[in-house]
Amino acid sequence: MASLVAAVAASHAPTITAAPETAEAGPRARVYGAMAALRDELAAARADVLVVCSNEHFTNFFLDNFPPFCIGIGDQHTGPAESWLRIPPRVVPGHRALGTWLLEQALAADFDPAFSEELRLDHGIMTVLHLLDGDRRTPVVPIIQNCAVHPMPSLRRCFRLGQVLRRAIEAWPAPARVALIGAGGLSHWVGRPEMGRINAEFDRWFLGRLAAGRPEEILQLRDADVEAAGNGAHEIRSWLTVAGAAGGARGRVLAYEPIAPWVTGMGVLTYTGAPGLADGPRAPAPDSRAHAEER
Amino acid sequence: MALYALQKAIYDYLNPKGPPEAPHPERAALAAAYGLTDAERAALVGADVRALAELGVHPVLLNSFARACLSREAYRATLAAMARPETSG
Repeated sequence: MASLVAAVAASHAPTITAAPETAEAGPRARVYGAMAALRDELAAARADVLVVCSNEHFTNFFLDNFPPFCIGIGDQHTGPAESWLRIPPRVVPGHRALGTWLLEQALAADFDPAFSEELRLDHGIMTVLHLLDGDRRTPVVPIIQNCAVHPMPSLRRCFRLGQVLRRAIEAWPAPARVALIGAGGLSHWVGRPEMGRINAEFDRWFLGRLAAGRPEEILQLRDADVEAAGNGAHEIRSWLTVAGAAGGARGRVLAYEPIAPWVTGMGVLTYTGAPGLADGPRAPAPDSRAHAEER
Repeated sequence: MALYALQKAIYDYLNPKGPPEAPHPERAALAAAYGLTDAERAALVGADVRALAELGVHPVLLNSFARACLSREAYRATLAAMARPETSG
């Protein structure tokens, strides 16, 4: 049987690769240090496949057909969709067997995700993949969520998707090691005059609930409550999917920095090593001095 | 023309058909194909972020379009100007 060997989440501001130099050195180093710690954690976990939950930015879907969830089942994907990310375009290997298994198990659990053989991966996945997987080229099963266009799946529905994914991964007959990554949020405003504003109070509250193993308090938020942290804050859904997969475990916050030039509250969190997850190692405390900034 | 058509033209601009390296289509051609009004056409062809926002383009779609068409500095300046009341000269 397969096992879930890592469960992590991080913000995915495109500027983290497109223009990292716009942030002050201290916050930038702390975020990059935390991402490097996650990268080491994932490497030590020896994941065979990465399941990456992120959100749609009108890259694959338009208003003629905008699914709440879509699982990428193709043999390969392409990315990044944006030419300005400073990430070389490439083919990202997919994992048809696991993608199809997750789709089938989701349907059996009364979830009804869309599926796609042909996903373009934008900054939502590619920035995090670039920083966490580097040149390892681990196969990826992307899961795209609607965190942009109302009506969106509820926070609770996204959390429950994570529970379904966890059960599906652990029921997969293949002897594989699977890591789950959530990418998005935290507070930010997109395409609006408030862009650059950050609601650090909301972000710290959100991270605090996950660190305490109390996601229920978050799941009670209405979309209007989330909107107080910006229209981009709806992307916390990807974090909640990871929280659902973590089964109520306490997360460990490796970094939080409100970085206005990156227009995002930048959070990094891991559940790896928490009780109930497989034998993945805990990330060491990030040492911002030890990790050079990547491009 | 409906907002839907304007947004579809933006989406098609950002996501050209064909292989990943396919170039962006001409914005003027998209405006014609979707039968946009003069105001919509001018906003699309001129990458006028403020005008597109006032026409109701979804902010996430608008953000992707702005990042594809404008420098980061120009985009931020436009948003900052949008935060201020427009003054007539």
